[in-house]
Amino acid sequence: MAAILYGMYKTRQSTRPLICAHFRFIIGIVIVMFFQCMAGLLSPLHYRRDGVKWGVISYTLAIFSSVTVSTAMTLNIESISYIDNRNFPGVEGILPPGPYGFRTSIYSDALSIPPNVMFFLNNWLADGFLVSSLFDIAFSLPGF
Amino acid sequence: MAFWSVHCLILRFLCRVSNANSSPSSIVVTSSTPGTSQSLPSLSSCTFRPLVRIRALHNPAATLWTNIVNIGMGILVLYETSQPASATWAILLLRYSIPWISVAVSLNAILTLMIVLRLFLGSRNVRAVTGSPSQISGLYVAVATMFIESCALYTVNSLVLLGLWVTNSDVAGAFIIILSEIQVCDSPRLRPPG
Repeated sequence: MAAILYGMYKTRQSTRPLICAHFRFIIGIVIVMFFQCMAGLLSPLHYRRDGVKWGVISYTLAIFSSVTVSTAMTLNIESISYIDNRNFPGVEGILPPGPYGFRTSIYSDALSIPPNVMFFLNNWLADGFLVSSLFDIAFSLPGF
Repeated sequence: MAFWSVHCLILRFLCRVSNANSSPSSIVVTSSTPGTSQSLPSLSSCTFRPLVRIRALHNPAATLWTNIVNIGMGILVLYETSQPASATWAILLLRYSIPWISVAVSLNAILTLMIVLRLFLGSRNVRAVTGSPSQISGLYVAVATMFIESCALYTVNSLVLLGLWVTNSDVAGAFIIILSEIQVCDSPRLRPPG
């Protein structure tokens, strides 16, 4: 089993950093959408009628901060792995040499846990909001 | 048995809440003479029933249980990946992440289908009542609304991720990295009135 994993790691080293690095531009879309959303929620056109919706504002702040913390800490770990520890010697039979081996070796350290926690927190928040919006739609439309 | 009874209780509670909310909002037109009011026929009397009724898609409380299972699987994956000295974390990830991704994808697919169904039937009912012809712009707005409101982007991304993850492909890294950002991109959207 360890030999299979080692082979998997060796083939994965080459493509994984490229793939991971080139898909981080989505956080720019998230930042733009966050500011547009807050401008819409805090504009006088919106709150003059129903008041300020503090629940939606706090939800938006929570989900934006969680995804920002997750992205920032993952990028920090990737910079530590791929820049500072490029010459990781590896463990024979368990971890491959190089940055991906170092990334794997610190996967259960304290540094790697907050991004995972924030990722799952974000997942639960988004799914909960979707379920609540389903109930809103289901009970506001007639005929169901 | 206990599961089913709790399920029925939650469903009954939600139905009562929905009835209590919807009863005062019926359309009432006050005429010029004081004291007499004339109520328009409710929209629900003009609805078209769908030909095929899939029972799970008309039961919103089913998503609550899927959501609870999703949270439980997330806690399990989080617990297993944060265990110390798990240098062979790939085994753990392969063991617990496939059930978690499957539950998350199924939850989002069910939610997308339910929301799209409700929006489609609701817009058809409104069009039938108001008598407005369906034009190209109306169709575009309807399709865009369904895509945005139903989080379809996230569902498509999760489906692709599930296939790549199960086949142990390298490209899955790209999709799992943009997963949380796409969720945030989908979430801030217009809520329906009421």
